[in-house]
Amino acid sequence: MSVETERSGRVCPHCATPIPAEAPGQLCARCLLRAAATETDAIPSQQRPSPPSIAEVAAAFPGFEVLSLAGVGGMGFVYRVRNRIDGRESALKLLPAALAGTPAFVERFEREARTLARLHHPNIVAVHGFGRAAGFCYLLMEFIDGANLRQAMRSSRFNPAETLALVPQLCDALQYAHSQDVLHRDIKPENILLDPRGIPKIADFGIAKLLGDRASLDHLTLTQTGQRVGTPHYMAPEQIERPDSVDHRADIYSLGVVLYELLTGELPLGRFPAPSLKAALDARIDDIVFRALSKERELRQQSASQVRHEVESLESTPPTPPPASPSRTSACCVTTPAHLQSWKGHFHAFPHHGSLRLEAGQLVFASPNQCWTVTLDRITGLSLGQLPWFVNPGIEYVAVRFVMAGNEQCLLLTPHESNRGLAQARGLAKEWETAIRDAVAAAGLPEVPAIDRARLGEGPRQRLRTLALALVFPAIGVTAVAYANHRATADIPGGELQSMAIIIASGLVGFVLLMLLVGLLVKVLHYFRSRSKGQRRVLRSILVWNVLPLILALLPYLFFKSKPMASPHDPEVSAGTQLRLLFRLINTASNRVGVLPPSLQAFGETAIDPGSGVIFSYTGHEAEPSSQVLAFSEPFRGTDLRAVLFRDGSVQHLHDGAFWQVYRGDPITEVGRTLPPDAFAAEIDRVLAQGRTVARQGNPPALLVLPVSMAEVFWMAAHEASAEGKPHMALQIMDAVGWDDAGMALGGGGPFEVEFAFAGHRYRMSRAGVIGVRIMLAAHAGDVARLQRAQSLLRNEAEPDPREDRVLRLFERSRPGDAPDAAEIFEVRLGELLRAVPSQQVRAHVLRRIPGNPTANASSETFLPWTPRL
Amino acid sequence: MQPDAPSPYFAPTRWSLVLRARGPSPEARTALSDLCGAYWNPVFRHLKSQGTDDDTAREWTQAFFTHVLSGDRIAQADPERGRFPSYLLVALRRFLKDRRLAETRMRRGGGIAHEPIEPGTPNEPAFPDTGSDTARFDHDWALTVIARSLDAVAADYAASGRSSVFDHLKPWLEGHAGNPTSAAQALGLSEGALKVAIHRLRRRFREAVLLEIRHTLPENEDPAAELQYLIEVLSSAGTAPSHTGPASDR
Repeated sequence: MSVETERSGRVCPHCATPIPAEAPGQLCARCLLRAAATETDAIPSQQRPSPPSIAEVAAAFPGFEVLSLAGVGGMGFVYRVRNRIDGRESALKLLPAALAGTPAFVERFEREARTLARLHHPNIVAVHGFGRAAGFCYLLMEFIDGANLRQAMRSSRFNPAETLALVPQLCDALQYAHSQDVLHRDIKPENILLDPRGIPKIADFGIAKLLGDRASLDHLTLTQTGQRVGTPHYMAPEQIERPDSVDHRADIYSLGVVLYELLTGELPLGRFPAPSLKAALDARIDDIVFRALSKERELRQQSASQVRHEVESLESTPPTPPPASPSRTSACCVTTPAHLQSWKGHFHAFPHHGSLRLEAGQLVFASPNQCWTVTLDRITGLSLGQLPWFVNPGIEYVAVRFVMAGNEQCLLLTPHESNRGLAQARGLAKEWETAIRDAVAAAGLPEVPAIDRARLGEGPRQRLRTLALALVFPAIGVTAVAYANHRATADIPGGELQSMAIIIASGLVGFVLLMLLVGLLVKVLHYFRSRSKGQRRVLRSILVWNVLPLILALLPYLFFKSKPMASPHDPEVSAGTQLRLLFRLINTASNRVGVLPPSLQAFGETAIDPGSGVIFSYTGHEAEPSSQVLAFSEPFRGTDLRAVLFRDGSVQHLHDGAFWQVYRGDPITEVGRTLPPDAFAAEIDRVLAQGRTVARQGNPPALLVLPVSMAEVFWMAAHEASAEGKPHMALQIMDAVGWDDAGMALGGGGPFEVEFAFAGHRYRMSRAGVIGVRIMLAAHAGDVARLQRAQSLLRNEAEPDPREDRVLRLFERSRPGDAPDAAEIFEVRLGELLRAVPSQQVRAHVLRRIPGNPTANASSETFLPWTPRL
Repeated sequence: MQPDAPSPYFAPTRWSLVLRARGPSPEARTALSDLCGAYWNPVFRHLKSQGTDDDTAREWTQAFFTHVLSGDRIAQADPERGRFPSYLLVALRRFLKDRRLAETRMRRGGGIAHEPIEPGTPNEPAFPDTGSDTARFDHDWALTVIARSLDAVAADYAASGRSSVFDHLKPWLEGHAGNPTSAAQALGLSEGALKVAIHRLRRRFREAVLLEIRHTLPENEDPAAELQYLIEVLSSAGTAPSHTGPASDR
């Protein structure tokens, strides 16, 4: 070798440095050494488990001459051995030693190996024998003195022709194995060997399954296996997610990955580009590779021979000539009828995105991981349709049916103007359909028929699903929620039917609101996803079709929520009252509709008759035997107290018309009739039975049975509730008691200040009187805090409580003159009042003597019903 | 997975034999003699770079190897000293120093026997060790390793009558090179078969390089690390003018 440092004149093609003349072999020394430093085996030597020594192996296999360690991999160690008898060379594969100790593994190994040994194919590495020896499970295989695809790729890159030339042989091998019910499960370049003639042979069939079993892996540490079993980048999605359900199509996926890698030199990771974008390829290859790489195995080629067939037909037909006419391109979403018909499809607003291209002779949909090339002559059907309206109202698609590889397929394409959403999709589908038809006509092909709508997933099944999604499910959902609420709050007056009516009404209204909100949400989403055109249009559509109905739906509710409660007697508001009541039902569904407020419960035991929804109360103070009455009312129709049934058996009819309204013309017991004591119970039974009948007729009254002496108590409780900011409860109570009755209890139902005679004097009841009643009630309930509050109200009369004013206003609207005996009744009440309010000051306020009348200093001890608990 | 060379994993290497013997055993002498024969060139180039002419350098190289191979030198090889090239370079520096001292003394009358200097003695710094000096030596060393490996592989292919395969595929040892189709046609191989052949050639070359390196390392030393070192040496020398000469670069 020359020692002169001259230049050879050659420049290294890799590192671009000049190569000196004395360089060994006229090669770039640096690149030579770098290449030599590159590992040729799959596993870097650092991670490599230490193999059994040749001497160990030789001792374990005396029948063979062990020539060398030929390879180390995750699946074990491969030795090159020569049979001492016939001199034949083989590859001896030793599986990880730790496994051979597991009886279950050994059994499975033998079963699998027996199957593998039966595989005889020129493109499959043959298994000559198998067994166990000296603690090793081994396979004796055909020895291939070549390179695997990974090494071959490193030697020099595969050109497309070479790659495609490999496909038929690989497919043959896979098809053969699949026909024998053997899956490979770990197709990757490392497992595809090229023999010295360049013929591919697939190695390690079924080994992945053997080693992939968890039970056997439990015995192995990572270092023992060297690497993870199975190679995630080459594994089909279902192989990772549901390893048990893997079929032969997983091998087709892996083959697709290998093809992609051979063609492009890269792995198809993430959103990978089409092979034809990475290498000079016939674009039709993209379709074959993309289909093999489909995430859903149904979309892949269904057999290895189909892949072979497609590749071969590619070679036999010339590539499509370049487009002669201007092509058309749109951003596009694609889905399939099968997907649309599934439950998932109903919610899929934005399926695969990609671009749609109409070139001369073909229609191409390409997304980062899908590519469909449909030549126009293969199109067998073309239609317009609409995506399910549940989340995509009114968005159209072009359905294209075509024949590919002997199968009829259908794609639903939604061309749109940007990738940011479907909001601008309107109209484009129609344009595309026309364009495709024109292109077909221009190509001299017969007109394409429309597709049967049922085949587009618009059959009855889809409609049923849509219906279920749009109506039944939300209704069931809302009803379930309301029912749970109902269970939690126990009692709803009016019985089961009314409860159900409330629930269903809540459900329906809730559902309408829900749908309006969902639509709004979807459209707002579209709006923000599509930034470019049509903003104003989308905005308008949102306003007109979503926001406006929502406001319209909420308007009555908001209106009645803010409006002071009108008397249900007012005929002008009766329709409004109905509406208000409906909303009140919804509003108070969780607010214990119809349940007596705690302040009322203090007055006695209450119970509900479940058949009629009658709430009755047997309070009856012993000192007040004659005050026990029945008061009937129908809370949600705004009618009033109808009759008073005294404990002594007499029934007093208070409000004729209203009573008839409730009982639909049923005559009530005649006024003033005196019942014998034992008839009282019978009367109650009769009323309850009547209630049940009415309940069965679908118009359940909630009947309230209460002592008449408590009528004003109820009225005041309503006042309390109103003051506490619970107007709905006040309204409810007022409804329950009846306005007239309340008014009557306090002085005849006329003007708020009433004059009456008492013990030879005339008095006028003032607002302070109302407060006085409150004090009385507080005293009655033993509620000191409430008493003090009422007293302070009384002292500050100069500053009237606005909330009270409202009640007063309401009170003033009740009709005067309905109760001829008001004064008489009030006298009784007044006596109670005087007894209840011990303070002289209060008395002075409560009773304002009309000037000119003699002062009444006589107290009516006989009226004292009970002792105030102060 | 099917290399056809004998396994390189367990055979004792020459330098390890020398180190193991730790004395003038015939086995070690043979091994060292082989090594010295193999790495004659780096020593020669080193001497030449010291400013001597070709003939003197050749003569000194010869003298140096005779000196190294003399019995007691082998015993001085210290297993701790590591790789053979390092040993050789240190020995060479001492040899030169002795030689110059001797010459000086000759001029002064001479005849005074010099003390042998133990390699690696810490209190005696070796010949001034400049970085470029070592790097140049190792650079030449790396080239020799490559040349020997290539020769070994070429000899293998020639032995099996496949010299033309080696000649055609040699460019692929650098990496991807040339036109595979024309090479395949020239060799009468399919392109697949060509890839296999390239792979086998590369694997053979890699083994040859590793084996060559192992021969210059103590036992159980990782040849991959030494290989990496040689690559670094070559890479840094690629920009240094020492190798191709400053004048000839542009």
